[in-house]
Amino acid sequence: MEGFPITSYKINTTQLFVLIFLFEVGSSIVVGIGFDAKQDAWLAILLALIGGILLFTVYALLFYQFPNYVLTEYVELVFGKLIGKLVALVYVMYFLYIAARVLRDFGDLLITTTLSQTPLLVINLIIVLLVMYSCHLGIEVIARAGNIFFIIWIMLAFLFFLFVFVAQLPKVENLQPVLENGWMPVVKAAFPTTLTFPFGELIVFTMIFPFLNRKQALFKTGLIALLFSGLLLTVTMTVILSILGPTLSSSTQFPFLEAISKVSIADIIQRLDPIALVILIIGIYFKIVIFYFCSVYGFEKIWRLKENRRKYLLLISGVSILTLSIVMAEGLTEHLQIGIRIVPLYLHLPLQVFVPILILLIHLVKRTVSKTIQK
Amino acid sequence: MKLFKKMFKQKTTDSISSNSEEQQKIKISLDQNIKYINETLGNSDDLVSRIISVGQENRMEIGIFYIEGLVDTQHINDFILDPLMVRLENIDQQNDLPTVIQKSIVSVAKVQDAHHLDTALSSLFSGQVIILFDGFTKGFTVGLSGGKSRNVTEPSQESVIRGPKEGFTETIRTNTALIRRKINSPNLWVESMNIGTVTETKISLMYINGIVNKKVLKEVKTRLDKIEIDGILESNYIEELIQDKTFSPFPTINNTERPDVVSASLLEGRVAILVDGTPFVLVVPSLFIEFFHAAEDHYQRWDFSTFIRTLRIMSFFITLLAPSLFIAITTFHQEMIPTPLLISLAAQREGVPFPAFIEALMMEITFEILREGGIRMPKSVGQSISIVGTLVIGTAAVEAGFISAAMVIVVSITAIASFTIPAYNMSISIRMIRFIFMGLAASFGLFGITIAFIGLILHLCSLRSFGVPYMSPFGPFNVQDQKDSLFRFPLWGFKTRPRLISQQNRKRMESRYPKPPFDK
Repeated sequence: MEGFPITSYKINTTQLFVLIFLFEVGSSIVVGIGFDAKQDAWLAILLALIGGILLFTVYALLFYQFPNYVLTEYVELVFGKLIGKLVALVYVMYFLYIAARVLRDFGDLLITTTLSQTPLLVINLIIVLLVMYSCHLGIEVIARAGNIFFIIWIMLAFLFFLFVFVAQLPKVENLQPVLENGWMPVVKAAFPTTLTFPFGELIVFTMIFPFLNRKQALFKTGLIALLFSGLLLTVTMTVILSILGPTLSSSTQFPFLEAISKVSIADIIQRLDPIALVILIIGIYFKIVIFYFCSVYGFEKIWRLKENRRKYLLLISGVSILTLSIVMAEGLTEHLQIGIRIVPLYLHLPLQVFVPILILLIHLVKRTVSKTIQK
Repeated sequence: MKLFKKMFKQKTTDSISSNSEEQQKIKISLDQNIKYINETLGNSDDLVSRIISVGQENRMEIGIFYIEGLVDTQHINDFILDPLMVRLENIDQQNDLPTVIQKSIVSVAKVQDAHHLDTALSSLFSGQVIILFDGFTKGFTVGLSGGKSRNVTEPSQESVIRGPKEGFTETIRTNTALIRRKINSPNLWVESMNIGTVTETKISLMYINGIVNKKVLKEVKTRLDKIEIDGILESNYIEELIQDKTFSPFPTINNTERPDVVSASLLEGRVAILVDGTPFVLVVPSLFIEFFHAAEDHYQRWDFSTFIRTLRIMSFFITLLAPSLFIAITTFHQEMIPTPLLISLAAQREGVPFPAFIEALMMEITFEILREGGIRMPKSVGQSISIVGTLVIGTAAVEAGFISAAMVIVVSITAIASFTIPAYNMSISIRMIRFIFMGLAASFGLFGITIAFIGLILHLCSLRSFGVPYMSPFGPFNVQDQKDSLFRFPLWGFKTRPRLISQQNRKRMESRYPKPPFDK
């Protein structure tokens, strides 16, 4: 029996908050951010957070200019049909690529930590299947699940802090001296790496904003979510830094796991990295699912496909994301090198910062011009 | 896929209804009517037809028909036969004798005119008595339903330590009365219909007008109208035909045997569906968390109830995850186990030939068999199964080298935890899903469990019960409704009805935090 006809999918402000939060902390907590600044990582993250808020303001302004359109639609309105479609396509591909990157990150993480015997393909396949299922259910269901996972996530994170502090692992000496080499390394760590990942990746939410039921509350909700997740990241990274020390934090691949594996309380609570793994799987799942959903949704908007065709699109993009995640790099080192050297400069920076600002400027200029003509 | 469609879409030309003839009018001759009735019922043995004749000069024949066992024979003697045969003795032939009899002779409250034999006959089966007159095309039916039915007893499924001890019975009238006794309001409305072309089972909808969610009520009615089936024998027939999603292990319609639970649900704006012939009443819409609520949660102190609810949620996770976590940790994440325990576990497992997954699977299936055997077998042999059970899941199995002692503990705690879930249908679904978790845990460890868990939550979030999201008030999150979901706040905190259930008239009480009168 069918339920009520669902006329329009809507998410409320709490759900938007939760999605932004889980998205922001999702994978950044695994790989660690700002550790290039050594013991001043917290300063770097805070700096990047300020930049992130500015970027978010741009995205929100864009949304308020086109409250009923997603990013891939209003680029067409601003740039014209041909160039607009091209830019939209670039964005959709970009989302797909980032989803595949996060997937790869995650698969590698699992193989190096627990499932050393399992092939990467199988692990990635399972996640892709799960992600395809979630997108088949739609953004509303993902948002509702976000509500529940947010509670679980916060509880687990609380446990992490509790255990770490009970075990007396953090050492203040590891955070000193502050600003040993001046501001330059901090600024270098903040821009562009930490700004673009994770804060700039919020660009993907321009595809989700129109689902919000109370549109005027967008800026406030997003800002609170961004601040909350940014501050939590700062605190977490600082705690990790104070446990591992600056050298180890920046050299190890997954500092969060490294830090939690040091916990040992009364010889009973020890080796908790599998619990940390649960936190990471939840976060990473949300990161992949949001990128993936927005990519599929963008495709749909570009070619104006009907929603009942989504399953084919899901299948095609699911297979491509799986393949991409396997073939994008030979090994973990190459993958991470691409992630550090190429992606932030040539993908993140233009697509997260320059193009959105350009769209906003062109649109504002167009509007003023048309207004003066009318007068 | 084609085979699948074939299995479910058989096209038959037969109509489900048994008789589609035209309505037979009551004939003027009593003999003809008797003949018709006997023919239609196939000379059934339990039909009693009694012919009496009244009047002094022009004796007139009156036929009385009823089904033995469905009516109260003593009442027929006292209120129909006695007045007719004694008081009509002195009455002369009148033009409108049936009306006179109906108005002043038959001393029974419920009397209805009948013009058609078929409608009269169908009322025969709901415990009415038909009275027909020779020479008139009119008769009437008298409601004297009685006969044997089960008394109101303590419910067998949902027992409480404190709280009302009455449960529903198989008779729908008793059940509606039990609810009416709890809610003495004219706004408690009952709507009835007959579903089932052959069984003509009576279904009643109960709701409180002004509180009920009208959208849900309308939806329930349209879904009930769509049902076309030969018979309804239990409320699960209705449940399966109106539920939102068939392909889900989770029940989206709650059932209860307790009038107090139904009354509480009605007060929250839900709709109760009563089915004649079963003590299990359906309540819609139902949310996931409500399957973990027991009636007693509201009859004990709030702090204790909250504690018990938390315990139940823990049991839910234990039932779902305990075997799979054990498998995952012993196979993939041994480093999580404290060293002394790890050593003793390894020593136990030394003689066991199977991997942890097979071991767990064997034991869990054994336990499910034991449980099913315990339900189906005659009560008198109950002793034997408990003896065999303790041997199979116990030291004997460990000593035989089949399984490790730790696995016995895991399986037992899983079993006991599954019994703490108040709703049986929810506990079944969790027990089934547990096996999927075990499989994924055996192949991927904690990663597999987490993925399965995410999938489970997604599935739960996608469900709706009559338009209400199944996982509310968690997803979508609602602060106000937290008062009676995972926690049970003190009663003075229940100021509003659940937001998504009753969408009108949400205010519930005015009372404030109770204070002693002298305390200023």
